[in-house]
Amino acid sequence: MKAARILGVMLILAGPLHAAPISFNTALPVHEGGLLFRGQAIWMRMHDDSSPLGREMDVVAVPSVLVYGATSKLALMGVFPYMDKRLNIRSMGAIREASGLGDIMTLARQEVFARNRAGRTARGALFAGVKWPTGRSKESDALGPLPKTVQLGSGSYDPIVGTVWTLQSLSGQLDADLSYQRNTWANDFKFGDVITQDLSFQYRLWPRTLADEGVPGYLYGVLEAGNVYRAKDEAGGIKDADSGGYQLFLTPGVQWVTKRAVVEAAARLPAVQELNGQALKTDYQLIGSVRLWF
Amino acid sequence: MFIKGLLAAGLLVGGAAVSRAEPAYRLEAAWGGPDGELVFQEPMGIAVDRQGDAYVADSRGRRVVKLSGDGKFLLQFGEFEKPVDVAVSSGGVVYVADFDADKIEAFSPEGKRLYGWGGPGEADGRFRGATGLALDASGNVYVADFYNNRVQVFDPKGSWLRTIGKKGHGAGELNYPTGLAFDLSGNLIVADAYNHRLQTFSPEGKALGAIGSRWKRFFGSAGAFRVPSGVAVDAQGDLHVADSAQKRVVLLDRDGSYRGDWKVTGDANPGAYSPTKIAATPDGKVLAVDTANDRILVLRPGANPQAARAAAPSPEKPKPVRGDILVRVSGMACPFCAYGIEKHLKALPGVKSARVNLGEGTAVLVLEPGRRVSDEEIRRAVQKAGFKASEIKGISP
Repeated sequence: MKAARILGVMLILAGPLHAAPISFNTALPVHEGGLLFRGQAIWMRMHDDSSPLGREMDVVAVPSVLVYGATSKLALMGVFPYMDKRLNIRSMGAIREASGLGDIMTLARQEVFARNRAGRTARGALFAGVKWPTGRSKESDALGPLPKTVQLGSGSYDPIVGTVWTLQSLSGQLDADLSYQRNTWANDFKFGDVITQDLSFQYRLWPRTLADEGVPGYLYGVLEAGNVYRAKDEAGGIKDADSGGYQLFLTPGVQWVTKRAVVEAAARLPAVQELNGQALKTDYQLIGSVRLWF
Repeated sequence: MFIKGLLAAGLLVGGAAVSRAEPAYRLEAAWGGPDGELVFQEPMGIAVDRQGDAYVADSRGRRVVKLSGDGKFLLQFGEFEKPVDVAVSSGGVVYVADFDADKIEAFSPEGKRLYGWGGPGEADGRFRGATGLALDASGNVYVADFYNNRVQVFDPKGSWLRTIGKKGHGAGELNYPTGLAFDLSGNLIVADAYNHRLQTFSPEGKALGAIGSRWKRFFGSAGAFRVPSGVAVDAQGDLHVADSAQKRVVLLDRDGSYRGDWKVTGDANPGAYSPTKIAATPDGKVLAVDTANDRILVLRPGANPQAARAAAPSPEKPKPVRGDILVRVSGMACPFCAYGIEKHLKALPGVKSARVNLGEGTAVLVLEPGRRVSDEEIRRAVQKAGFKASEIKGISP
């Protein structure tokens, strides 16, 4: 079930703050007065249960991201996730599910470093924001209150801070980010704090040369690595031994980038899963995304 | 656990460095080589005196060859073990770095031995592979001491003065320095070969900056070096770099900005790092020592697409741009960067259209008839898009 919580964190963070361009966004500027919309569809499958419960969890998330360039250096962002969660406990023959709006996150990203050269740039930014308790966190079904991991929201106000850096040339791009989310108490429960670190490398596969005048579309090959470290959850002052842990995801993908739109697809695959206790491990995640600039 | 993840993630970073070759030079001649009258055997170093005569350290020929400015043989001298670089003072004294002998030898312009110093070792005044030479305005001799990872400074007679740098990868540290030159401000430029960068030092040895790095070469930037082994500064202060592992000559502005490159062609030995050293002549030519092909390449800076294409396969030059104002934009490297720039430039009063040429890093504005746009307005518009206008110029006929 912890994996479901980690997905929730990832969905929330799948905003414009983070580096990897498919799972996340970059430090590159949104031009002043510009608006970026990003729509994603993520399917996460977690059927690898080491406990005798036979748990199978599937989550479909559709986060929408809006980014506004307040200035050339300051971007304001909002992440609005719609989620559909379904937990099948085969040993009990029970299905627990919920769908609807999750927790909204708002953030501000301030560029703190920029170095421009012909055909290349380096950017660094700091960001800070809050995850708001907009998702329902007290849902119940015929079996009683839904598990925390199936709830659409945490019920808590959770601050997040981090930094994101980008190196970009005409041939490729490297992005890295680091963030910390401090989760707070709500309903006598606190999800463990989360540290994430991502690294993304994008290499222009086509066109091979840029001799023609104008702005061609780029086809990028993408390889990303995402580290997620999560502390144990707490309930009633007691830490949950079956929560928290570490995961490393590798994400190969492709991107088609034009002047006003990006279409991208990737598979996020767990490379390392050292979760505490009898956690439900991730099998894979599939990500499709569209970005539009206005 | 988290640290392990970070390391694992770091392993993902890799990729072939891809250079977008641009014909920044045209090939005027090649001295030596299989079809030339001159016969060099792995030439490595080169220097040009005030008259424009060239001295070539012919390493396997164990001699120094003096050539006229048009490449005619004048004389040869020396009995070296392996001469790899040469420098000429304003008074005509010719200094030769003998790599295998770990010595510096001084000669008259006619090739008469005057004096020498050095010997193998790590003490002050000793060398472990003297590879590069340069002279400052006072005639002091700077020696790139390859295996000792330092630059040693001597007065014109060979008395040790000081040492610059030590082994390492940080600022002021060196990893197998090979080539030396002075910029127009009198600062020393070191081809810090296996740190894959040029480092600039004050004459006293204070690190001032670097161009390139160990990491940049992984990102496909045309300006990223791989084993730069020679550097020269011309009369305008522009830098010419022998980027040996990428088999090219790179042209940089005096501030270090990349302007273009030229790839070696007719290469019979593609596995060897070459060109190795480089010199600028008083009449504006650049002489690159193509060690792998036993020849000296005579290059002329400046784009000449026809000549450059004949000499080296490179992308087609763009067609002449049509418009009123050309804006060169620093930092623009992706299609969606271009969108914001076009949008803000188009919004300027008097601008009829704005189109970006991503490969050239430029935007071309077409103005409405009779309208003008100030440079400041253009700069502000580019800045709003998050970038910097590095050059603005009128291009209307």
